[in-house]
Amino acid sequence: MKFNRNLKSFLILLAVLIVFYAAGPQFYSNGAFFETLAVFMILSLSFNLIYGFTGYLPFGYAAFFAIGAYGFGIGIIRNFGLVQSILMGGLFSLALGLIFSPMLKLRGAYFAIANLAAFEGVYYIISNQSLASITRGPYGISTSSVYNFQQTYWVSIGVLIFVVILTYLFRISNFGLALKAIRDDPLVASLSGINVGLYRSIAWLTSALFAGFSGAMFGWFLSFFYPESVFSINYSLFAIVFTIFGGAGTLIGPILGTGFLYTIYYSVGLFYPLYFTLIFGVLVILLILFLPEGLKKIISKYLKWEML
Amino acid sequence: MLVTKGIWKNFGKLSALKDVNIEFKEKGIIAIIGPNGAGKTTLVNVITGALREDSGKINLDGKEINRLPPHARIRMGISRTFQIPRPFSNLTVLENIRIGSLFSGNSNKREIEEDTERIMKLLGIKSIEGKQAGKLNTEERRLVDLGRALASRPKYIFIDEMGAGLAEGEVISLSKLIKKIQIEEEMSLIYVGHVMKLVKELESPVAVFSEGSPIFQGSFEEVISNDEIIKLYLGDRYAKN
Ligand SMILES: Nc1ncnc2c1ncn2[C@@H]1O[C@H](COP(=O)(O)OP(=O)(O)O)[C@@H](O)[C@H]1O
Ligand SMILES: [Mg+2]
Repeated sequence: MKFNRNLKSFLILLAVLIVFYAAGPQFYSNGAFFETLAVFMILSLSFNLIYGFTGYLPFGYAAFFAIGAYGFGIGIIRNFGLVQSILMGGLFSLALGLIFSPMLKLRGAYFAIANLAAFEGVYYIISNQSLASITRGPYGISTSSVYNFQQTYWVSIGVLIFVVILTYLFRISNFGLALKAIRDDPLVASLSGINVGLYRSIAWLTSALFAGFSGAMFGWFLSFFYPESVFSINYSLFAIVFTIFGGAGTLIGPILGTGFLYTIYYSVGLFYPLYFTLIFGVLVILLILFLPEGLKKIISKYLKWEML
Repeated sequence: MLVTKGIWKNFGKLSALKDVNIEFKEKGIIAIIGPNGAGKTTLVNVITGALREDSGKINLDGKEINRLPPHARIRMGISRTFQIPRPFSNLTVLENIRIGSLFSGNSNKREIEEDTERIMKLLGIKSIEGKQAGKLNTEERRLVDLGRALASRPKYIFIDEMGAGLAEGEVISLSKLIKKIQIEEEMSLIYVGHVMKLVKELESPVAVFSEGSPIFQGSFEEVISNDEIIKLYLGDRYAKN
């Protein structure tokens, strides 16, 4: 019964997303808005796989996003082909996730700080002059040879649908149940037969992989980017704030959160370009103060519906 | 058979376990008693893998299990409850029990559902199966904790201090429940506690712990007529000699 209700919500969500992204640009002809919205939805959903399902809060999460863009860019400038380059974006990020995985032994603030430091480290390496033959260092990477907005757009929507399905599986599977148990009490989970380290690593690596894909989509869309264009803590903040605002650990939360807050962010940027960081910052603080559990809480309280 | 050989566990200068040698048979109930701080819970922690011993061996049916992580030990049949019950508070009662079964090595879907149902009925918590564990009262939390531990089809189950703080009538019904569980689920049940009344009702062999090691094993009657133990529990002036 519950399973069927979840399945129904899931199918409705998929339909809504597809209609939204197919029809949206007809009503508001700003392709860049819809494309970046899709990119940040992928990023938030990927972030949710680690934060929402395990409780780890990686402040340097944008490193996965950035390395995804770079994996893609390096593939393109070496003429590896479009599909191969997109996969490279994901794989670079996956590899970074593997390198970072010993960090999972740290908890709470230590993890967050170590992750932030690691972000700086990766940024330093990528932007370094001496690696310019591979990364183009501070000069930036051009992917304009494969620029094709319609193609980027639909591949992004495809990746988004894929992460949505994946998150749904996390939500309803025994694997997801185990992650929830680990989040509640890792020791008891382990004493109940759950391989805590393995399960956390799987969530971590899946999260990294898809953050990498979102970065690859972003790099493809930008068609030229500097290290600073993708290595920005702002992208960590986006993922964190959008996810928490919508409801961490759910499927619909990060989508709603991104849709709502990114739209505001984008409009503020259009209308008040001078103050937009300030206005957006204040807004975020207010939301976190008065709505710490996000829309998930409001919906369950007033609509009596446990968000999928 | 589950056997510990020369287990030591220190916390700083304090030795919580001192050369513990103890055997648990494959079937039946045994009670481990001893005053607060005697090292009973530490022994459960070490056997289940929640804590690593400093030295000594743990053998299950002749196999050394010291190096195994907790999740591997439960798959070999060693399960436990907690002195302060620790159900997964964001999961429902049903999910808590199901987890106990799901990850214990049984991959038969139907058996997992059946075990979950059976355990909930046995403990009388079927009616609250949809409730979130974080919202339960103390008694219900204890039962859910026990249910999770039971759902893994353990060969050895350690029940840590379930009787503390219960009234007389509740102690008797708890002892009945424990006996019933042991008979129906046919495992080796190790009851750990210091509530004498409950230990008496269990009518099982007793091991007495003091300052980190077992100092006596015997029947309940032998235990309560032993001067050393009376001193340990009540102080010198209650001993006959
Ligand atoms: N994790 C721990 N860290 C430090 N000391 C501990 C820890 N666990 C138990 N102890 C100490 O070890 C001794 C034995 O404790 P415990 O095994 O809980 O006793 P019991 O269960 O018999 O009451 C006590 O002195 C206790 O304070
Ligand atoms: Mg104890």
